[in-house]
Amino acid sequence: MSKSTYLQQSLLAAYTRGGDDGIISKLSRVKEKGIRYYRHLVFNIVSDGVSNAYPIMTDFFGEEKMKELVHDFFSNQKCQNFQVWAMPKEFKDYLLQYKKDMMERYPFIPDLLLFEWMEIEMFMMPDEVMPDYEKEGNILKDNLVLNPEIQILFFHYPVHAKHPIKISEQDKGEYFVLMHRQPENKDIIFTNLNLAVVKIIEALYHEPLCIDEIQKLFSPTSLEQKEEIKQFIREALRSGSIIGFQKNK
Amino acid sequence: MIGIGYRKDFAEEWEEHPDLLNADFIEVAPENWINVGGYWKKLFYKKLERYPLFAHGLSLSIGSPDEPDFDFLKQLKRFLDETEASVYSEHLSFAKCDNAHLYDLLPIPFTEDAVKHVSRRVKQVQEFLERPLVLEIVSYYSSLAAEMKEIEFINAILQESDCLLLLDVNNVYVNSFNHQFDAREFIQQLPKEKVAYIHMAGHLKVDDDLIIDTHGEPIIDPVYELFEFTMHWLQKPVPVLLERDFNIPELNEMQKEIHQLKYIYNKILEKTKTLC
Ligand SMILES: [Fe+2]
Repeated sequence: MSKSTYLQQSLLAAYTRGGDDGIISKLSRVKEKGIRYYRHLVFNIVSDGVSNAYPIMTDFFGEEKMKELVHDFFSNQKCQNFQVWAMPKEFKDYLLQYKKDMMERYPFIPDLLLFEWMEIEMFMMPDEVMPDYEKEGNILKDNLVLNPEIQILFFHYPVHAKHPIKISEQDKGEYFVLMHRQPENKDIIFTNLNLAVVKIIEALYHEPLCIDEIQKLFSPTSLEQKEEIKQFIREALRSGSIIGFQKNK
Repeated sequence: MIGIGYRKDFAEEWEEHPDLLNADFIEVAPENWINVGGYWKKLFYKKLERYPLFAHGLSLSIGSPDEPDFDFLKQLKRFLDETEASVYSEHLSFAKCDNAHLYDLLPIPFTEDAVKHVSRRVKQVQEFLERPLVLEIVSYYSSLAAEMKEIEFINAILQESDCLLLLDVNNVYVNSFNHQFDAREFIQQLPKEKVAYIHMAGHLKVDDDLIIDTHGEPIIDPVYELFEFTMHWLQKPVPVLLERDFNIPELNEMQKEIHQLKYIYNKILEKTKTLC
């Protein structure tokens, strides 16, 4: 390809990414109105993609501020993902890397970006191979099988529980959130976890265990704690983060 | 054969009411489905059991100055194999430049060297994918550094590479309006034997002198007329797709458009048969 053909394509691409009007006069034999439309179309695709992926953040900052951020992102970031639905991940990564001021001013933004993005990523991700399991079993005796489509998120701010407008420095803490893709309807479900329950998930992640083995791991001191573990497991079986019971134990 | 562009926007409704929409095949953009699991995959694979698949890509960027993205091509090939896609079509445009995806279709300069570049690229892609590439005439809102006419550019590529042609009748209509040429004359200059696939869609007139190819409106009568003209000229059965990407109406509205396309299609082909 000749240099001049390449240069024209490169200029048009740069114009659609950054909207710099100064570029238009460098494009040969074009209709200005049409060229401006390309910028409009490209920007709208990216902007819509980002605000659909981050509805809470868009609600918090408002459309105008979000458009500013998208403009900044798309002018500077060379998007690598060929899938437009996955492009907002690059938006998140761009802000985390280059918008330190914003993160200082709104320290919950990294958590919020992660929370909103992970919901999409898990909803869309390829199917994991499901281990053999049975739906019916004895909760007190049988080994429990964890859903492989699961992830634990750690936040400093309760972005999963509160609108960002209501989050303050007093909320700063340690929040564990379990997210999983429900095996039947494939919905994404978020569950609050405490540290003890995080350990149960981690243990089950390595191998199916029965409730006695789980309880031994934590040597719960009170009857109350034992009840709490059982309660969590019942709930997990119902919501699908634990999918069922191991076959032929 | 009349097909429909399968969209997530109406996938659930169609699954619940399969009889509301009767198509002969479905078309998807592989980019929207590659490596996708969960809910959408479940719905999509149910449809695949019933309908042949035509794949219509978005990010191949055949006219890009950049090197081909072989990692993408590998994933694409796997998808086409897995879904047993009967056709793989793409756009005669570029959507990536200087290593950045643009997520829209930009016009390739109508130049001699671009013809050579694209033709080389077509051969490379066809060889890698081990299937023919069907390239679509895109709508464009301005040409860029053109040294020849659009028709000359398209025909030169069709001649130099051995790819096939996706004739988007609506795009030709849109281009003929935006760039003031005769759509019928344009179509008649295309190599008939290369036409492997037809697209039909609606568009939006945004100004006195500008139509945007939105795929968000019903097909208008002049585009149906141009389709009828095209079928007359073609005199052979070619799969036709109804594209509707935005403003998705009730399924029965789309079914009416499919009916209308089928009516024209059958009418012309019946006549052709009698003539034979
Ligand atoms: Fe098309």
